[in-house]
Amino acid sequence: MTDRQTHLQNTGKFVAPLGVLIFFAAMALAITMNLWTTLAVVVVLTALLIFGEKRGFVETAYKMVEKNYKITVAVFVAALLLFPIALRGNSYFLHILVIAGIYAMVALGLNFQIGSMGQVNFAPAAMFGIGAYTSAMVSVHYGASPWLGMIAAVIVTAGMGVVFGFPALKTRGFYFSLVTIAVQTIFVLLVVNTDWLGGPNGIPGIPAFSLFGRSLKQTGNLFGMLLPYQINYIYLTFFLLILLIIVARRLYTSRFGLAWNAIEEDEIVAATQGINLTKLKLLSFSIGSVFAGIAGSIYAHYTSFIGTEDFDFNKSLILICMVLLGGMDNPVGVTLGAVLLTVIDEKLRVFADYRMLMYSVILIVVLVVRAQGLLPKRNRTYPGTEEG
Amino acid sequence: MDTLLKTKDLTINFGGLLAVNKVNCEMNNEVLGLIGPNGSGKTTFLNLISGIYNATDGEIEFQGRNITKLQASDIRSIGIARTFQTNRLCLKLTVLDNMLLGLFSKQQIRWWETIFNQKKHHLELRVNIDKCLHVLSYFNEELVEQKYELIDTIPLIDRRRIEIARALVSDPALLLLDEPTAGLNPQETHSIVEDLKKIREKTGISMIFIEHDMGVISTIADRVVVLNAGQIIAEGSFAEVSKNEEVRSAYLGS
Repeated sequence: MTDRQTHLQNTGKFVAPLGVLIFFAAMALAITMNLWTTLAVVVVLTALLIFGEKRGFVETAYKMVEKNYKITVAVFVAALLLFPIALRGNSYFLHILVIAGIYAMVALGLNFQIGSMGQVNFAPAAMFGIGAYTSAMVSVHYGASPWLGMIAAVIVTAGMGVVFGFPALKTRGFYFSLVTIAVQTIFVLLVVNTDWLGGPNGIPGIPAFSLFGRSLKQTGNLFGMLLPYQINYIYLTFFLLILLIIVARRLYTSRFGLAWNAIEEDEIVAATQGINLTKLKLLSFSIGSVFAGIAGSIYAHYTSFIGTEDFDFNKSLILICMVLLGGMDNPVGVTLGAVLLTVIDEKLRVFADYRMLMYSVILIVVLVVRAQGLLPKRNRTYPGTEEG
Repeated sequence: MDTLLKTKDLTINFGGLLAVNKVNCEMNNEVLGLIGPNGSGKTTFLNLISGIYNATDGEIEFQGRNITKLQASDIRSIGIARTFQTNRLCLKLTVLDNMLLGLFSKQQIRWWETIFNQKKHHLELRVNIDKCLHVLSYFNEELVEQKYELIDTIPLIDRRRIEIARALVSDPALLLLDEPTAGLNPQETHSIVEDLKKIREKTGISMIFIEHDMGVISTIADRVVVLNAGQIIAEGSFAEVSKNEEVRSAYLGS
């Protein structure tokens, strides 16, 4: 081991967990304080990333985390578990966290198409909606357990992903995007005009998840601290989100992630390397849709009411922005983008009618300053398989 | 010796333009030089074999199997690899990732295994990386050091080498080379040709070689096929072909 590596390991042991804690403190500020604090956090984070990259700090930070992976992850998980408890006083803050986690899942799924394969899919909200409606219908109309609803949502969205993936086989670029816009519009129109699906009134009274005979809508009590019910959903969402991040990262380093990148650059070259374009594209769409389906199911059973306005074209655009802002083809970046944009979106409620305007301005500014997204894609290194 | 590749009346028609017209060609284990003037259908012929285009008419047989209708991805899996005239590596990927792409069809791991069976995934990845680096080191030791560099930063000559290495890494039986020396200076051309000769000696791989440099053709090709306007006008050793009147008037000049 060289001096530099030992150095990274020794200092990283303290710096990496400290960085995690500072990050959580910043997130706590962003969530609990007013809009300006949130923006300040975003500005500081962007500036740190830009200057850090120029000076090579970002690379060092990645290395430090890599060398001290276990302790960093342990601190991260501990902080993640304690974070909602620290925020227990205000259930609105907790609500933001649940929503952020849910959108992060959809954005991670969308990243398989936009980030990995370079196909801009404008229908993630439709997939999210299909998951939510399936799960809601199964539990409201058939009285099944919400967990069964989630399984149904996974199965239906996987199938739908394949169906909607077919246009991607024939079209690409703008033409493909146009097809997905049509899919998104059709979904909303279809739901609004189908009485069986609640039509314009949506579906009310969706039951909550329950675990070990205890509904997740019950408030908890930990050592005399009253915990709002949102905390249950936060843990459920975070648990699934971390699983999905692991899945996304594993696919990224596998031959499939590589094949998606090759398809993005040159389909003919990809094909001559033995990559079956049909299979790989459909895989990307159905896995991405399953992510959205899981998120949709949680959303339906969390909010207990769903309507088409939750899954319209604007939502799709916001989801795409999350991927762009966070950093394409970097699961951690996408998650960060989703969390930040959800928080900003909530804080912008003070602007009422001008909310979307402000939202766009912030997005434009961030993307002009840092076009590649906050945490852009990294070159694959294969540390576990190094020779020697 | 068995016939490796055989085309029977191979024809492709682009809206009235017969790019390749009833080509009957047979090759054994050898290095076949494919020459002819621009627009004579050389690259189209390779595109037909590698499955990028589907033939309008005729048949292609590889190792006794009819492959006319196979897709490009299947063609690679049965052992035909190719390079392109303009360098077509994935610029946003690293040297190693480009090499790993060449092994895609040789990998057995399923997508759910990459998620749920990390042990198998890592084991296979390790074997593959070793193999990629081994093939790369055969061309240029420095490239092994540069395995995590983006292709963007690699000079043209090394990109050519990587592209050939990427084709070779899956152990194909037939290598299709579309002008491997295009855009290179004489020294670089020489070095690529030497590399290819070494590979031919060591692995006994068959090659179809499109080339405009007659010096290269005369040193490396066992046999030459001359295409003009989509048809074979001559074939035989380079010495024979270069004496042919029709070839001289169509391509070589007098």
